[in-house]
Amino acid sequence: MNPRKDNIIDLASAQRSDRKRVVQALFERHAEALRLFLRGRSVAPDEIEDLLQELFTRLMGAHRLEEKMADSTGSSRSYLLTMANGLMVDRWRKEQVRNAHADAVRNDDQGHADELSPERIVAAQLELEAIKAVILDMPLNWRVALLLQRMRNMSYEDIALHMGVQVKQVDNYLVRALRRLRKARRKIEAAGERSC
Amino acid sequence: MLKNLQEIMNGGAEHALHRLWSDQLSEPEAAAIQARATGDPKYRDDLDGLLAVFDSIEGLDGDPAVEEVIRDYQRLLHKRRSIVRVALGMAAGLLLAVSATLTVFSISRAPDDGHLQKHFTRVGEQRTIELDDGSVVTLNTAGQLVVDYSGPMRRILLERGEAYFEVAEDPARPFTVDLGLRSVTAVGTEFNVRKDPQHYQVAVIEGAVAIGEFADGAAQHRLEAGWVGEFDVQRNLLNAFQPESMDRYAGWRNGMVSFSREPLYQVVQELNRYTRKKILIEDTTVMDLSVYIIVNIHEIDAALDGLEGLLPIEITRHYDRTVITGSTGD
Repeated sequence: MNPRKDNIIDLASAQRSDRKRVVQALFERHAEALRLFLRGRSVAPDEIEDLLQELFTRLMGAHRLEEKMADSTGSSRSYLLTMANGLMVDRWRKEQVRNAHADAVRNDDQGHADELSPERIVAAQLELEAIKAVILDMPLNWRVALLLQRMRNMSYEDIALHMGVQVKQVDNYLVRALRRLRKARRKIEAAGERSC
Repeated sequence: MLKNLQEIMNGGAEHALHRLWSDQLSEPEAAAIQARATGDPKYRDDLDGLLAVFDSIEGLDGDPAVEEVIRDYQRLLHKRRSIVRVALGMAAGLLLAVSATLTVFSISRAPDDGHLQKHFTRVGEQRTIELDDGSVVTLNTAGQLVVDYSGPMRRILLERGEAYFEVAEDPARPFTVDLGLRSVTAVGTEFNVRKDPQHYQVAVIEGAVAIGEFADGAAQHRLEAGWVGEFDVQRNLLNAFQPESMDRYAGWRNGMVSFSREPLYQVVQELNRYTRKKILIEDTTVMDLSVYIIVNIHEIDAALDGLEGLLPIEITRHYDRTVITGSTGD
């Protein structure tokens, strides 16, 4: 059974430190999906490339990336979408802060630019509590599907496998869960505003 | 697909969000979401607001009530429905554990789930299975696999043993064999996969395969025809080599296994896969005798006779085992 030594190519040692190849492979597989995702989120084309570049840089430096990818309960695509989304939201928030700050300077106003004031933190926590209440109040199937997607980064196919149902049913659960969240949104936001 | 597009154009923001996070957002769908968000301020507000809520759910990470839902859902959902399916999606270690339990309960019983087919062979048995798409799988002795054609991929879980795959081409539906820690994706091809507890082995007879390191196959090694990849589970090492002949990896389907100048102990190890009555070497001096022989796996006894004729060994058959010793020389 033993192959002759001179025929052996040690693929594993070649791959060990080769983060760049891993990240490139991820991009080759998922770049198109990421572009579409960002486009669906109304990001301008030049900004999309910018974000992807940033994502690439982040992945190169990501802690224990291979482990996260190897976790067979999550799909690497969900992980990337989550990261891309996070980057986008970050930028968006920074811009808001900048605008608010500019406004504040212009109007000689105070307070608005201070994103992390205690009031804001309390508001965010209250919002989160309200979201939790809405989720825990959902039918079991809906909340399981939603939480597996959010907390475990699972693809819809993986959720279907885990729940033992068809993917179509997972779609159904998720859409319903999201609709419930959309309808509860005003209430959620109101929960946060009460503290202000 | 058209249904998705219509729901994006006419339905609430939840449809757009659901598609955005799916693995299969199409170009027209992305365009439709963008168009609607640009043209309808209320929709835009709805979508952004919903996304913000959706994003913040992650903040519940570690919350006991939320973790409980995730931890206990299997108990809470219909219990009986699908142990097999759960197994398919789980981490490797767990996978092996679950499949081990399943052998006890479900051998020779038809799977109760419509599109998951479970196949197995007994020791010494070989079976050819024709799959719905025209692909053919031959399962070698003491093997077990699950076929899942329900999703967008053709997925085979090789739980145990050795299988030879002749894959029907379908570029739209990748054909993947899951081994737990590694997966093998065919690129229109014929290949042999063997799963031992400590070794996974992939031999490519025709075409090429990609061996994925990750659950969904990202970062892959490509293996061409004529090559064999061996993955050492314990050392987490993947080696590739070109054997002189592919007979070993393809020939077993005819019931014949050939050995060319291999040490006796390896030959015995191999023969033991095909028989319940185990063969033992009780004499270290004969372990490394070089063997050149072709064996019919359905006639292990005859093969042993042949070995006895070829080598300075003596074979003693007990009711429960066969013992090889050095011949006393007469």
